[in-house]
Amino acid sequence: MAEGKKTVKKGHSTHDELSRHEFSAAIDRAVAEIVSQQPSGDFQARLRSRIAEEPAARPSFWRLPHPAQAAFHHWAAATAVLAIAILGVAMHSTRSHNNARAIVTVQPPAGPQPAMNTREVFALSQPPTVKHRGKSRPIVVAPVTHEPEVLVSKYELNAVLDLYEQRSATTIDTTRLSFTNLHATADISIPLIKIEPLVVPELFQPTGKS
Amino acid sequence: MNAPDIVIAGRVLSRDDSFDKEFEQRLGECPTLAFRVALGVLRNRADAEDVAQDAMLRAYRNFHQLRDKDRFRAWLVRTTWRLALDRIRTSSRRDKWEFAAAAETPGGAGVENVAATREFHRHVGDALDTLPEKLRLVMILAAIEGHTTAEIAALTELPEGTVKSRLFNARKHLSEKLEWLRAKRP
Repeated sequence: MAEGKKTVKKGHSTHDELSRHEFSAAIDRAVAEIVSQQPSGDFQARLRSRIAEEPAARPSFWRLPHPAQAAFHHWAAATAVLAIAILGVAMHSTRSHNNARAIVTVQPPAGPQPAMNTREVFALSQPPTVKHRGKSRPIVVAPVTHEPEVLVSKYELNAVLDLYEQRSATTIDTTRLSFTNLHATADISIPLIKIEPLVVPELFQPTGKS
Repeated sequence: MNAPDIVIAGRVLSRDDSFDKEFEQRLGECPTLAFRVALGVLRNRADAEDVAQDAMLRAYRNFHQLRDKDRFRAWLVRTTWRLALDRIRTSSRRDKWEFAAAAETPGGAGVENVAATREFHRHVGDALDTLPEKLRLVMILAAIEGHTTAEIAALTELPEGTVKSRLFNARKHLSEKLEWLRAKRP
């Protein structure tokens, strides 16, 4: 009895499935009928007349056959690569020139041995920055109106960086960051050496004896 | 300086001839596709023809980029689809359902059957309108000329798996939407 019920139920379910499937197919057919129509007889003629009214002139380049277009693309790519190479060389030479300018020698204003005190300094085109607590903070350098670059020795620079890393929690005293005292305050003068004639001591006067 | 002419099938063609010949070939194959895609959205013959013509004109203007046949068809389908959607959005007039369902019903069908079929088609069309655009496009393309999944994938430039999944979802959505009609179906 139960088996019979089950069969009936299964049969009903299969019928239902079949019905669903048929229904889905009917929907597909309906959609196909909606879109499967032909345009009217004069559709092509109207389209052709509209195309004929279009200005025919595309740029002549676009009417080139494919090989010619490919050749043009190759030429354009080669030109672009060449231009990039030239630009790279130019930028590199400019950078080298700037690096060469960055290392200068400064003589101290006065002193008995100026050549011994000659120091190597670095020109900074931008103020140095101190990294602290995840933020970069620029060190404010006193404005130097007569000189486009600020000159400091690398030892002084490190000392300043250390100083402001330690003191960054406090207010920055900008006057301490003025390095303008590196500029010569007076011309270097080298005194002339006076050469005296040789004086022969009397002790060695010639006696006349050989 | 003039460039050399091109020889196709033993016939010497100038460059313009070649361009026009290729477009002429597309003109023979593709306007009906464009018309049917537009009809799937607009369901008004006159509007669909206008949109298909606009799409073909655009194709003519951009034909230098679309000489590859598959690329041309995909581009045309997308453009027609967009133009048809634009048309339906900008137009307040939605006088659809002028197509002759009666003429397409099997011979010998009674007037009641014709009316029922027409009614069924109208409901299917309305349900089609409620589909999301991405599902509707694949559903319409599947209905046009019996396109296979691979062909739809080529036309929509989507992976085949995506097309299959969208088709499944579209059919499911339509079936659920029209479930109430199942018992009444002629």
